[in-house]
Amino acid sequence: MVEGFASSFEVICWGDPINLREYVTYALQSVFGWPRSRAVQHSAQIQDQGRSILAFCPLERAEHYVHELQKYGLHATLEARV
Amino acid sequence: MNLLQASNESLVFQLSKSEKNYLFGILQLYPLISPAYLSMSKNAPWLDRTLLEGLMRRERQNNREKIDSFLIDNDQMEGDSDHFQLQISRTQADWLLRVLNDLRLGSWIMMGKPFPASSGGTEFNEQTSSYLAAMQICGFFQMALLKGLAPAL
Repeated sequence: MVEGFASSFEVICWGDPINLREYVTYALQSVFGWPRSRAVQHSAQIQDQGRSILAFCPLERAEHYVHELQKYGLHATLEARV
Repeated sequence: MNLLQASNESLVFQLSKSEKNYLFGILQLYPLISPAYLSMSKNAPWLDRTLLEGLMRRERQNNREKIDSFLIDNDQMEGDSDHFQLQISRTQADWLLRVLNDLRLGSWIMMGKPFPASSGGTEFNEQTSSYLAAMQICGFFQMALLKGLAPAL
């Protein structure tokens, strides 16, 4: 979900050994409305590489996504792009 | 806990008596995680985290109230002495899934965040063993709910 080059925040989901991969896939589909294939790709990246960048977006939207992901218990943060 | 029926609006599961007792028992543990557990950012410490903490605190209070209602709402759990049917909307199933995940994550935190999650480096005693059991129980119910919510699994 790239929302333009002016976007200055990354929404990142960090891996942990506790969240079930199927659950992470479901949560990503629910929060972003992605098709299953895209959610599977990101959940695999989270588990295998320890993190996945889920979105580039303005601060307010990034905060919204982080809150929604954290409601699902995922370790999501927003990071300023440097 | 077996999925009996899934429609666009609701899901129906069959539970044994012991599964019902485990589900109700595990929900009593909520919440296990402090609202301050998750951070907003790793490289932007200037972001106000009190907002997120406030939202998470309110979220957990709402969840606790919903759990209390769920546990006393017998209309959702019908059956005889051995088997019960749980009929819930998809919205309720999504909520229950998140609550169970919160309990699973909280149990892992209470165990000292072992890696791998099921054992690595954890000293087993009465307390850590009960959290390990809670993790497994939550995972069992989560997978059953996911079968109804995400049928492609």
